[in-house]
Amino acid sequence: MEPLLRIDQLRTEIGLRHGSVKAVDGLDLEVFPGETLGVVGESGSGKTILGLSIMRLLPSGGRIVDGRIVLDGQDLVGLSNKQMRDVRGRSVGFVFQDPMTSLNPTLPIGRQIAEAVRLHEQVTKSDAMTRALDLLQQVGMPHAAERVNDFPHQLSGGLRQRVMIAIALAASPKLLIADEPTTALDVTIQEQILELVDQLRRELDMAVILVTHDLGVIAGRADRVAVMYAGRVVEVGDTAQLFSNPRHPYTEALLAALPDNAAATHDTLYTIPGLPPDLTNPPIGCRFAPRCRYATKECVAAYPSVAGEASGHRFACFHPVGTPEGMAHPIGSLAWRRPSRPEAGHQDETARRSPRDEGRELLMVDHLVKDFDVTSGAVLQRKTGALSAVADVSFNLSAGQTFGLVGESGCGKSTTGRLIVGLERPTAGTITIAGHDTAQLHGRSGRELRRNMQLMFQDPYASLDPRMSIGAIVREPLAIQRVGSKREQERRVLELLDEVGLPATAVERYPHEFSGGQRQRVGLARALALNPKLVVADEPVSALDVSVQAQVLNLMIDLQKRHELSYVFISHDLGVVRHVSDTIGVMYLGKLVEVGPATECYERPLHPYTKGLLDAIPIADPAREAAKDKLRVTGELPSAIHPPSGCRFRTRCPIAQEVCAVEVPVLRAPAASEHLVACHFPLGHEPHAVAAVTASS
Amino acid sequence: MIVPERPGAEPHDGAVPESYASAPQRGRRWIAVVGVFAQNRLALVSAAFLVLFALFCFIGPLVHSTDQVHTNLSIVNLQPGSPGHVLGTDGQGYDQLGRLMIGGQTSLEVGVAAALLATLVGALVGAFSGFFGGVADGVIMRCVDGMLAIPTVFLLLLLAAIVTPTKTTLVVIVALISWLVTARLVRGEALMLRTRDYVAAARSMGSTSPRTVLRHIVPNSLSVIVVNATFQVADAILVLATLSYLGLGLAPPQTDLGGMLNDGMNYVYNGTWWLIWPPGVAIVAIVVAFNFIGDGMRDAFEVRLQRR
Repeated sequence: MEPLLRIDQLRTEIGLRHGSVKAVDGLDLEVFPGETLGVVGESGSGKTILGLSIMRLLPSGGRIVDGRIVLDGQDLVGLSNKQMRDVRGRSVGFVFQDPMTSLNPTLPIGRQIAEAVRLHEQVTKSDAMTRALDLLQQVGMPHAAERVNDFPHQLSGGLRQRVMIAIALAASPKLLIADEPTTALDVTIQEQILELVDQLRRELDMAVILVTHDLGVIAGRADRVAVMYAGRVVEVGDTAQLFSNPRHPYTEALLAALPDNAAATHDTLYTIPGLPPDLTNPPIGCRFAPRCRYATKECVAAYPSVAGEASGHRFACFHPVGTPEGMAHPIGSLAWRRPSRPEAGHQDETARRSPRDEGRELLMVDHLVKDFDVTSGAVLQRKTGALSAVADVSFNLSAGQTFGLVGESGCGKSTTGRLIVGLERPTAGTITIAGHDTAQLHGRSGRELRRNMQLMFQDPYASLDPRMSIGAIVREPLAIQRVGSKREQERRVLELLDEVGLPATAVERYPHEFSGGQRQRVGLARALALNPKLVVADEPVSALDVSVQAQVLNLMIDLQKRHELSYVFISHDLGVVRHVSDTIGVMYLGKLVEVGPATECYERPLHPYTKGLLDAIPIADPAREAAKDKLRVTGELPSAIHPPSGCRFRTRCPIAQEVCAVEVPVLRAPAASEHLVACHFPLGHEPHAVAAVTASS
Repeated sequence: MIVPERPGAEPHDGAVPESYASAPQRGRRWIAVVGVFAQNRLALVSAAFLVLFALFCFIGPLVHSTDQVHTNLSIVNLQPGSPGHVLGTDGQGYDQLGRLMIGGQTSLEVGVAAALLATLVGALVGAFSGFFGGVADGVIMRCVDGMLAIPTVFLLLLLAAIVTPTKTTLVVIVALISWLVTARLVRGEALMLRTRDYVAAARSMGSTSPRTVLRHIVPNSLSVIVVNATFQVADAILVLATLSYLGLGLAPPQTDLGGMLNDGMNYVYNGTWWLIWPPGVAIVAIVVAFNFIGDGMRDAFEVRLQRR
């Protein structure tokens, strides 16, 4: 078949003050009509620049140095800017990552879509508006006719992304490039958007390039996958084949680093050592060689040519996985998986899993409530309502255990974390840590109490003061708490850096000199400085790439074992939470809807929301992804200012009944004593309820 | 064979050094700051110009000694190039070059002192106001708004009518009307910074509010503060000129660049260009130079641009 898009030896550079970044460096790729090509890679792999090169929307200083981009027989590289304008939108549509910033906040969405229509077709304004309405309906905007005059801020992230897709489709392009279209969205909304893109692809018979860092998204949606590393495609092939039989060591390592694949065990995750190469001066040989466990002299000396199989599965490697050299040390072998520190071996593992000692509850959260006042007026701030962020949440955590708090954005999980460390004051309810009520966190005694709990943040860029050196950052808690002399504090800083695996030379460096993963290590060192008993980790790995995420998770688990730490681990990523947690709590709109042992919650969810969440998470395994019998969570998260009566999930619940609107369900245990659920019709325990819904629908 | 990364895998000799904050390393930080500043040619030229101008104003009178106290009506409005008067003389018979020196002195002194005072007060008020928010912020900012609403000239007239203009009172008067803008700017910055994770981290460690403001909010607002301070110097020199123009400046025989400009205006139809051009050019050059320096400083304090 003739490809719709063929990219030959594309080189794109981004000029800097000194030198230039070779963001895309000799890339070949083909996209066939009507297919979805997944482009996957970590940050800095050049996948976004690839998309922008096709559209020629490169950032300032960026230019295509060499190569050809042939779309439908026309080389885009040679086109003038004027001709290129015609290609954009008409031949190629583009959906950006962040729907919050890619729409104009001062124009109604209908006009923004109509504008895109009028740019490509000679139609009257009213015809364009009619077409805009059609497009909105096509992208599944609920009540499209009423929404057409809404402004972007009146829409949720998921709906805004639908508007972006409508704009991209305005001129019926043959190719749609979606650059991380769902990264900024929650999993249940992600599922809806991906489904929409898939459906539109079939209806409009266009090709889609789906650019993402998430192997799971690719597994479920792409026909073929291209894996990018350091500006080049290292492996490309049919999705099922590539996932089941990865040939490039990078692909293999990437798959092995996913917590999903080690979820049931608390085994150390496979990590890729080191960092991607500096693309201002890329190595001559294979770019993955310095991090590759199969690498030989040959790999460093020259770049491997692309080898292929008849099925179109191609890869650039001298020692592909599955050949005799590769078989010598498969990732799955025990020798490879063994945790690096012998003391953190199997014995600890069993101790950790042993039945908990009920008397050693470290953290007790009891009927916790947090309402934020909603005020209006600039000078006299009148209270006009209350946002119910956390509504009656209770759970306990024993020393040395991890409690995983899961939920979508806006469910109150971060607020719960902030309440625990005392950054917010609860409206009602108590939090007891090591026998002390945190409500008494005032003055000097309060400051001492704070040593017991520390917070670890999501964004490794925002959580470290850019104007303080690493030494000053890690020393800050000691300085605030006036622990020891300055000299003792400095010694402790070095100990801590050693413990989190950073060199002693880091002390006088500044945060911007470190990568995301290293910064997160600094954050961990700071959190551990005061020897806390409890660390509340708020999405500690969500900003990191898969391979780096694995390093940080391993470190966290390792430190937990050594210091008998307890974690409250907050994340939207169920795979990660399952890997690290002993107990999981699922939150929805301020309520804890399900609490139970990690494996239990994951394998036998009782609450329909937990099931929906689990089903919406894309698994990096095409076979399992396809086999999923999905319970789809529809619609959007209701407002927390006016939460639904009764069960808060009922507006999106596929099995909701009348009783759900009237009665607030309480946490109870329908089966195992430790597995609690707040649902009138827990899954698998009220078969007649499900049957009734099926019958009525 | 490559070993999987483990905590502590990065190479270091294991022996933990006693202390790390040795003096030479602290010094390197400042070398880095100066290094980035020096890359900005315009800022470097501006700094050199200001140094030369300051030398001219403060050392110049020792070299080119003139009588700037007694008027001498016999040598009024001499042309530049007259014997002993390179830039001629003004309407009172003062040597223009010498006048430029003492006028420049006053302008620099008052301008820099007023800007520093205004920046200090404005930055602290703004940082605390923004950090605490709520009622305190509301009250402080409404006061600032109220004062900003009074026309500057009216405020100047009122203040100058109450106090006798000396260098000290002028510094206070100019600072009193300049700190408002700084306070607003820094408050805006503080409102944004207080939501940052590292501020939350400091609070969760038990940091007191003053400490958080002084260690996190103010240093991170530094670029805004520094850039604004340079504008403040330029503005203060202009405000001083305005005051002098209204006859509320320093009493003769003291003067400043604005005062000289005003004196020159009296003779503008006589073609005495040498009374207007030198102070006029000096004012423009100083204002522009301070702005370029502000740019350079902003870059220099941006830690990310420092390379070691």
